[in-house]
Amino acid sequence: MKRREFLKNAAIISAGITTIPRLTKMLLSRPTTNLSVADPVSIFGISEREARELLNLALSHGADFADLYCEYHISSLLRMEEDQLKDVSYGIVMGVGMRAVKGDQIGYAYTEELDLAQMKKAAMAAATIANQRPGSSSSPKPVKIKNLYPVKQASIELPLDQKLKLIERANVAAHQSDTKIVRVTVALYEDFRQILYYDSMGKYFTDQQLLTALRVYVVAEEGSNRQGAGTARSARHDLTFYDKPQNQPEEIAREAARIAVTNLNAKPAPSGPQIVILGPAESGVLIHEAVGHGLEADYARKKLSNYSDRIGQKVAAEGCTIIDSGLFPHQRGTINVDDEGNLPTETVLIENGILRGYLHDQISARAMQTTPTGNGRRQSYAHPPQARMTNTYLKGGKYPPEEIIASVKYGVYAKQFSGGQVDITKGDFTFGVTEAYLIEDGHLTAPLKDVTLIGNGPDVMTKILMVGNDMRLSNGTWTCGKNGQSVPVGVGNPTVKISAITVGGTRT
Amino acid sequence: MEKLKELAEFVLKEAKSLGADDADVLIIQSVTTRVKVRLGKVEELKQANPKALGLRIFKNKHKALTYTSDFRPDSLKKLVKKTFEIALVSTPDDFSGLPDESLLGTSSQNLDLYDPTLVTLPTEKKIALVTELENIGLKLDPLITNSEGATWNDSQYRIVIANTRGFSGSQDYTSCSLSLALLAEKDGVKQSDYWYSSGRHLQRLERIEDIAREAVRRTIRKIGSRKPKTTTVPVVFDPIAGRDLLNILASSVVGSAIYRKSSFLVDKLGKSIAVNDFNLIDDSLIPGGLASRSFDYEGLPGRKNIVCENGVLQKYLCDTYFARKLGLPATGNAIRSTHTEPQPGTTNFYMLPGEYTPEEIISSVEDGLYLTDVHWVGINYVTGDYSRGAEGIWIENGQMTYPVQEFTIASNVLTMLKSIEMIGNDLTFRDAINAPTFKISSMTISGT
Repeated sequence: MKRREFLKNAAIISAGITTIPRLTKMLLSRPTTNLSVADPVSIFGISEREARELLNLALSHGADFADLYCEYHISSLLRMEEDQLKDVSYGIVMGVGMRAVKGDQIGYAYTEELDLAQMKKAAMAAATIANQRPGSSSSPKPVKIKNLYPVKQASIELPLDQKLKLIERANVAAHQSDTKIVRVTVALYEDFRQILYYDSMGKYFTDQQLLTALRVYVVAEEGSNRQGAGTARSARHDLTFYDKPQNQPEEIAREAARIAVTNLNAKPAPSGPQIVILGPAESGVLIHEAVGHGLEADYARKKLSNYSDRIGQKVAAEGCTIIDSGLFPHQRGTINVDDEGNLPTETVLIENGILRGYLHDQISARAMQTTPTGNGRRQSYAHPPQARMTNTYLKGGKYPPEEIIASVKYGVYAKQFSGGQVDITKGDFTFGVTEAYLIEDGHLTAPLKDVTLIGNGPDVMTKILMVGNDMRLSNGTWTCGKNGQSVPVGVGNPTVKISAITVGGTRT
Repeated sequence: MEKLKELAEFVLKEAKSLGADDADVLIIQSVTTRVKVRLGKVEELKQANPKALGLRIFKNKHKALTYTSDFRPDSLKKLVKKTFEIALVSTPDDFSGLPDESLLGTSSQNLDLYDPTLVTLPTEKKIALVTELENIGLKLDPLITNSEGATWNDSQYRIVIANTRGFSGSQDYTSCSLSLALLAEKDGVKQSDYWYSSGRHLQRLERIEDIAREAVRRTIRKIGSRKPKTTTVPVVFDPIAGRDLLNILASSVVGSAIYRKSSFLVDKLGKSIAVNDFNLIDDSLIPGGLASRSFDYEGLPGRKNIVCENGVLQKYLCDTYFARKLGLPATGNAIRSTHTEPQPGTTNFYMLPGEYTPEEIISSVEDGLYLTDVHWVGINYVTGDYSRGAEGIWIENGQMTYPVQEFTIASNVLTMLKSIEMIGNDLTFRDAINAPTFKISSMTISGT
């Protein structure tokens, strides 16, 4: 019953293992059954004529728009703990979601039975949102899609031994990185979605969305003192993603181990307002929470957001330009096409401190008489689309990061984050910091215990004093929750200096 | 929904015929409706009949889990085959496997979890209920300026669990909820809050007038909020904020977190972790309870577990795997979805009430915080370090004064449990996890 939106860094998984790593002996090049990764059209067996028949049914009570979203979703998980491959799971979930829209009213129904009779029943159920004369659908034309996550072959059905090698490399590296590491868990997640879409205005597309994530969680121990830390890399890519130096399993494992061991010596954080420097990439959680959610047009147009009716106003410090872009190749938040058949765009939300625009889905764009920005996203066929972020970031500025750190006499440097949350109405947001350091006389000194930062979005955005020239997008496993729907997103940030933000430490 | 047990038997038989040592099947099928009304208009009407099946196969100590929403016999046969193949990649694990036969069973207690009147309730009636709920809320106070909407959710579902050691259980449930989220505005500052009621029976939901009044009260009491000063003071947790502390304990008292050394409760079994008045219960047999069940997700009968008695930690809650790993008894606390392996988790989890009225607790505070809400980030489960965004009302000389926002409260959970000073008599079972009002003698407030 918690209503607030949240952003979660799913790297935090539970741990395992003490002894010296040994390679798993089982396995090796056992072929997997090829559960034929067929194309979406043949999976669902819906002809163009049947699609129009279903859409016409959804329009039969006078809805002015209808769509049909078919999804075939394979997911797999391999998880190693105590040097053992403990969890192996694989699943196929499929269904068809029917939506009828009248103005801003939505009728929605879905079925997991892939026969036409059940789909018709769902279409009829969705149709009841309206109460007028029937409409009819236009003949479908394909949406021209550019593939932003091309791969040679989706890795979901590859032999498991290739995947196990990645997991074992991370497991060994984590154990070898420090003798204080007493528990290591490594998990590889893969998702593969086949989507088939028709709407009543004639839009038609198919898409194959892939997503991979490799996560490492470790516990470090020294006497009775313990600390845990998790890191992850994720992308819409195949396993070659983990060949890049910064994404290699060893790199992910060492980073987790480094944070856990560092935090064994963490000191209590100060409390109250402090100068805060946010490190690059992961701290995009601030942009996502403090600004992003409030600019999703469903909240904005209903005047539920603190950014409602503020286009053209100054809402952030000069030099702050905030962008949402679904176009970065292979990024976690990237989409070839949104879940309503609109192409992704680069949307400038804030330009040099001035509010320029909102993120739109089909309904909000229509209500505000503008064009959709390609931000209509849904968790699955079981959910109607909402206005959602894709990859959201603050554009880089002119300062080298060293210069920003050197400018602070006393403050907090925040590097890694567990997640965040925002009250869209008032704009108050929090985010959890899992790796932080004290800044003293321009240098990073003592590591600080986990701490929460809290601020008010519009207020904190005016307190940005310096923007670094090192903008990077995170490769973490950021997952955004809104009204009970989770979608993968990207966040990004350069190094940023904020003049005051409240630090929730215990040291007064 | 009649054929689910047969479906489970079909899958188990298929697994056996391919040579499984053991297998279990979980099937969940439901009928759900969601109605959201905003400013008098239906904004969303959603209906669905979701279903899913999860299969676990054990073979020579290997195991795997598969799941699907596709119940066609041919698809299920393919799934069984796939399960075998991927299981061979797993490392043999002596601790994995189904529970011992002697532990399997179903509680015979009538749990009162199904309301037939809910099943026949027409959609028009649900729309009328939420429309009226929002309408009352919007009119109660002129400070209320907008609505995020009133929402009805209901679900009727059946859970079937069967395994190759002879367990076959089926349980029917209903649940429903009403909620209202409102906005108030004064001097250009917007505030929002909500209230809700949920339960297994339509007739036992709070009256819509009461839900609306509480939603309005919670929203307008935030008007004129200030950021408090940075200080160290006593904190009174209201039952909603208290539930957050219990949620943290629920994640920390389970065998999985203990075995993985990922809990501040490691090495605390049989030791005093809290003040003497502190008692924690996990009870899956509360009639009408939102987390009640006759059997857990591995087929162990429901039961009442005393987790903490007079401040002393009595039990780690365990499923079969982590009970074996820790050398402790399984406590009937296995939870899972069709997509995930069983793991230990709480059911109806609550703190026993004390002797004080909430008013007595508040009036005992000279200068401190009445905590009404916390944000979800900011807990280190390994160490218990606690730092959370918060909202509340400042208490001066035993009186509630002005609302406070945009600050954090910080401490360590183990310190907090040892600093509970007064426990309220106001425990109610409105959620699966419930706490009465209680006071913690000292926490750090980070504000201005």
